[in-house]
Amino acid sequence: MVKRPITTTEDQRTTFIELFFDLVFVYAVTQTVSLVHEELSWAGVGHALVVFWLVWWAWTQFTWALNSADTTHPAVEAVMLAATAVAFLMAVTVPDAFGDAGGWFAATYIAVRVVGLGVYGRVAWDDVAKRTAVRRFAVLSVGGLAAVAADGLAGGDAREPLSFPGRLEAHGLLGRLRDYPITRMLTSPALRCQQTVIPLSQRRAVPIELAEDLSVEAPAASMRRWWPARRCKLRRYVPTAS
Amino acid sequence: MAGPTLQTAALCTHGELIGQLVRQLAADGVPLEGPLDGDKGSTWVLDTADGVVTAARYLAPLRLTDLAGHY
Repeated sequence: MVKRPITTTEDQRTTFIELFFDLVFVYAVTQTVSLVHEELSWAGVGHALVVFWLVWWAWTQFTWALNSADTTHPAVEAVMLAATAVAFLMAVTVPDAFGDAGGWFAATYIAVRVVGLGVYGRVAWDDVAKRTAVRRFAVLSVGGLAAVAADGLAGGDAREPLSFPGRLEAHGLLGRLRDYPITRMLTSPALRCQQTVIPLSQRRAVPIELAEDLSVEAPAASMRRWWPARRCKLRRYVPTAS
Repeated sequence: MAGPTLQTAALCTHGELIGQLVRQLAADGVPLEGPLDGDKGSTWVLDTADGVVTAARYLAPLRLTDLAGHY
């Protein structure tokens, strides 16, 4: 029995699986709009462009690979369906790709790209020139994927919980601020900051407001503008026992 | 945001931002009763008049030993 080759040089009709795969990527592209919708600023536009570029790159890689592949081969169909499933998960995380879902976006994106590289490498294997080109492409891709992974992990900082000493200090604020009236409570959206003000919020019955201007990515100027300072003489600090 | 509702507001943010803010206040000549680099978990109390910062006072965080009697 002759083993069916995975590659073909004949013209092929687009399969339903390919169309389904494309549809998921269309969904991913439409999801990038929500990044601008959530943050209507140049930063939001920049985030949307970065994610759009990544999604487009992943889709392009598959189209290159599938040009040489026999798209009706059961193994190719199975891999395409698996890639479609992972790409759908990636698309779902796009609106929060620069937030709490950063790690999920990075993981699913890298998985899609690795599957794509695998298909690309497999169909190019028998052609020395193509194999060399795919190898070069894979090496370049590793750099980009490492950047995506690093950014995904960095996004996890916002989910870092308050440490045990931090939780005790958060309760210590009840005594430290006992004599100060508090009518509003604003915090960075980072989990550890929210957990810092929870005891105070509960004691004072003041709701917690999340403010992006207080997040670690915000420039100090955005917080500073809340209180313009009056120019006056600087006094030297003398430490006192607390 | 410099409205009257922030006159008695508590804000919680990151040390990097607080350090920059305190340095800017110092550069603007606001009297600081505290170090430029405060400890993690510390608090700055800003006195304001007509939405303008007139003084800043540092409150050190309560440490485990300080709280030992409460737990």
